[in-house]
Amino acid sequence: MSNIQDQVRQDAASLHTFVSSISDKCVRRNGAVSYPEPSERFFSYISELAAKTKSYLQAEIEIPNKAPEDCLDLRRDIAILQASWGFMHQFVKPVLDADTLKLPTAFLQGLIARFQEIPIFSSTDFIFYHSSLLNYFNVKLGVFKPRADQISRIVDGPKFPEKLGLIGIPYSQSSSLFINCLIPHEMGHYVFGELSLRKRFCKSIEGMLISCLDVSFPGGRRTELIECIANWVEELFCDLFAVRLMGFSFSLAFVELFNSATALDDQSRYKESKEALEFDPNYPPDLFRLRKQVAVLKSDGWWEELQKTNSHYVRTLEVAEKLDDTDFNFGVLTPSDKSYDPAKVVETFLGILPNIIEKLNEVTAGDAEKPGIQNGAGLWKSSGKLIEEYLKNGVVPSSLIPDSGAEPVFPSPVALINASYRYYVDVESLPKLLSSIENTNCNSIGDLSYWAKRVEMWTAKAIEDVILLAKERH
Amino acid sequence: MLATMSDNTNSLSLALDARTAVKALNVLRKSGGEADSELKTAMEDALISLKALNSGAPLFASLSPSSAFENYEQIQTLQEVESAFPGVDVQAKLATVTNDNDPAQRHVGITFAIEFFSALEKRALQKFNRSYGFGI
Repeated sequence: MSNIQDQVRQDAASLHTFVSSISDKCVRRNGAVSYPEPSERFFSYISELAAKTKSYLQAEIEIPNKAPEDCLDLRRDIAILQASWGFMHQFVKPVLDADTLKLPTAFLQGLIARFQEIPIFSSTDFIFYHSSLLNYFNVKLGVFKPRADQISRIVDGPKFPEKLGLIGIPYSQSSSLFINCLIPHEMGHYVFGELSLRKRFCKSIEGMLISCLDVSFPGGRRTELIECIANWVEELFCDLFAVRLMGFSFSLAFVELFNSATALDDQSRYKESKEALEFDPNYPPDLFRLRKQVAVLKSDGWWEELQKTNSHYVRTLEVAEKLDDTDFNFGVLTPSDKSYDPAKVVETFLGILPNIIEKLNEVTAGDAEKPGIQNGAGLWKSSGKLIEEYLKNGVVPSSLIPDSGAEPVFPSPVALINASYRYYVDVESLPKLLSSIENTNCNSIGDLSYWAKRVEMWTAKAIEDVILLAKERH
Repeated sequence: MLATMSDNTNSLSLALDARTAVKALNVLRKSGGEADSELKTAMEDALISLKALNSGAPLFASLSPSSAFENYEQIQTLQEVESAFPGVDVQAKLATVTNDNDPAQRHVGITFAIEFFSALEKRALQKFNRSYGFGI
């Protein structure tokens, strides 16, 4: 029978092989492709952590006459390091897949610049990776970084880079523009985590639940409900944060991805449906989320102008806006265990809503040195119509000339994306564009799709141009 | 939708925290000195969470900012591990690590805490390793 030292040495060698198989992908990557700087930082971090993990294992194995108890302890270190590397494993290839040619680079630059308008996040950057799921993800850095650093501490390795978020986008949408307007929601999750807002909200939710529900309500079950409400709070905060950052483009992308227009009847009125009004343990109902997004669109000055758009996307927003908070339910379709009243849970959540808005305003406000998030609606209103006019004529709207002989105006990325998305969702715009182009058929969904993609490309090009121009000016 | 990728982070976090506690407890058992502030906080958070589970006392108002027990999955794991020690007053035993002045009692408490946090580490790690689905 082998002794414990021999066994643990073999375990360590096995982990060494596993770690190398991950870090080698970062070290020996294809030289023909390039990556955004934050991704390069991630690869360096992984390579350094791998080197430290391997040297730690070697050093531990070389300690002479290790007691059996210490060998067993090392075996458990190896188990937890393997699990930790298993966690890292899930990100390395997705980040490698997302090179600069497979990301909407200019759009992301514009988005990050907008995010950095928030004073406390002025030096935050993001790594983007590809996900195989049709979904957008944010890795909770508030949770992930301390754990990554804890893993690193075992092997005396590097700390995970500061002020670096990690966001996953569907691999198929790497060249899309409109649907990627959902990304700011993920930035909201980053903010929520960085500012430890979940913990703060959990305290308030717990206090409210205790006063709403029976005091003898079991602690474990209560934690489950607190988590459920905290999930709703976080998702809603992220939605509203995205609207504040991005304007109505986020809401339109939301309606598009979730097919929220299925809530409409043939007259674009609300089609009653219990399913559409039901909270689930992770998310508020889509219509509830849209309803709250409209409230921010109103307060930020987007709504009045947007309502003029001839689009079922906008009608969906109107329908959501006309519902009442009390129309929404929890535990109707999936009855609870009857140990609590589900209505009280929704009541608690509704009681927290003003705090979410307050927190949003606080986070996006400026400080003595920086003004905070600039009003995107103003930027859109001042140049939106002209941007759409350029798109109608198939012209990239990088520099706008309001009148003949006037000086060119350079629109902001936020104005470009909102004007372009509004143009795209207006049911008459694309058919009109196609009617002016030879050999196209406005009833052909292939043609409509092709020219919609062109609109996205012209907008992306314009964003790229205005970012370059802005850099030049600075 | 628009989810955060956090499902398996919670279990891994708990496993790492429990591992850190076990390492600190091992050092304490050998040295016989005072628990450091990190270990004291870890023990207090475990006690607060167990108290909230068993008596319905508030949880989030009392936890430290770095607590390992801040979501249902982690609390549930704690509950599962506690139930694996039937007839044992887990809270009282863990409390002796930082409170008891009697060295013999304290030593017993530390030995129990190592057993408890090792079980927590294993359970959390098991959950993490199963969190990728049903491939194998």
